[in-house]
Amino acid sequence: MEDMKSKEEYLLEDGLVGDPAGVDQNSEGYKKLKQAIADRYNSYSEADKLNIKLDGIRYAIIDYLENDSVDIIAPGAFIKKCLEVSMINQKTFAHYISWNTGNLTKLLNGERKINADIAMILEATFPVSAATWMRLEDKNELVRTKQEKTRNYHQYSLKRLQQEAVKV
Amino acid sequence: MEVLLLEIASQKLINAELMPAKISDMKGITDGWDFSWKKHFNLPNSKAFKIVLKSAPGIVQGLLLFQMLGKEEPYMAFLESAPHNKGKDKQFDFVAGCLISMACQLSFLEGKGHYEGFLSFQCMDEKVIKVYAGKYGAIRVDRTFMFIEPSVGKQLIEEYLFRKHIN
Repeated sequence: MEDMKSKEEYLLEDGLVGDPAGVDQNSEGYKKLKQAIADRYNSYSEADKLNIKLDGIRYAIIDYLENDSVDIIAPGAFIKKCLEVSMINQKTFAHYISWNTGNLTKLLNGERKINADIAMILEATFPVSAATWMRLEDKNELVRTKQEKTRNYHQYSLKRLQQEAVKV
Repeated sequence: MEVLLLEIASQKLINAELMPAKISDMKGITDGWDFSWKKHFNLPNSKAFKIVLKSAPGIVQGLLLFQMLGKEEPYMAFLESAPHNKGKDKQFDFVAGCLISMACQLSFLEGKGHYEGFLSFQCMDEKVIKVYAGKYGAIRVDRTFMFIEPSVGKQLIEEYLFRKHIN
């Protein structure tokens, strides 16, 4: 009997979501939904609310890394957001990482790159791994190189390399 | 975004791609699909997504229509697995899980104020409502409305979107 129930649940996992008639924003059900979400949010601690915002920044970083956008966003822009939602000013953060404010400003404005040391500090402070912070720099470097078009990369291939090897 | 689907027959994880859908993708979405996707495709403030296998990019495995209600509220307007991924003979599992998780991620990216990270939606089937509550941690409000709160959405994102890729 238990197996039968599990099987039925398993089949319903891909059940439909949505109302073909659309959402009626004047309905009692929708008003109750809005109220339930507000009540739930208000029951959270300040730490929970901050974590939601920091998770949002983490997903924004991952989304940026995943998509093929050619509009470069410097890692510093994401650090700025982390500081803003945590209500930490730049001077305090500079002191915390033992940097002078001038160098921090350069990092936040994209004039200075993230290195492994600062990436490790950021990983320990915010919910974004050091590897992800480093990947941001790598992605931006690749986009810049593609945009600069200093070489025609399409001319390179394993076949051409093998042809060259035969000549040598 | 790369995701993994479970092939039922082999019980192997298969590489798939979750990506924005275009209106041209809706041409083949007719026989066996419950929703009129072409009709709903252009809902205001909405984005459509599809899942396809890397090895068969022309075959849609499932569709999602994510909508912003007003400027603040993330809403999963429609979600449907392809006809071949429904019922006892379905070919791939995790289709709905990946699409719901994508909507959860969008609720973090686009939700504003106290709606950030909250994803709401409607289910019209009582049995499906129970499964969504049990399997995906959704909270039921009233008859058809449900929502997924941020901490649960985060778990779904980790499970379905950030699962370790093969190769």
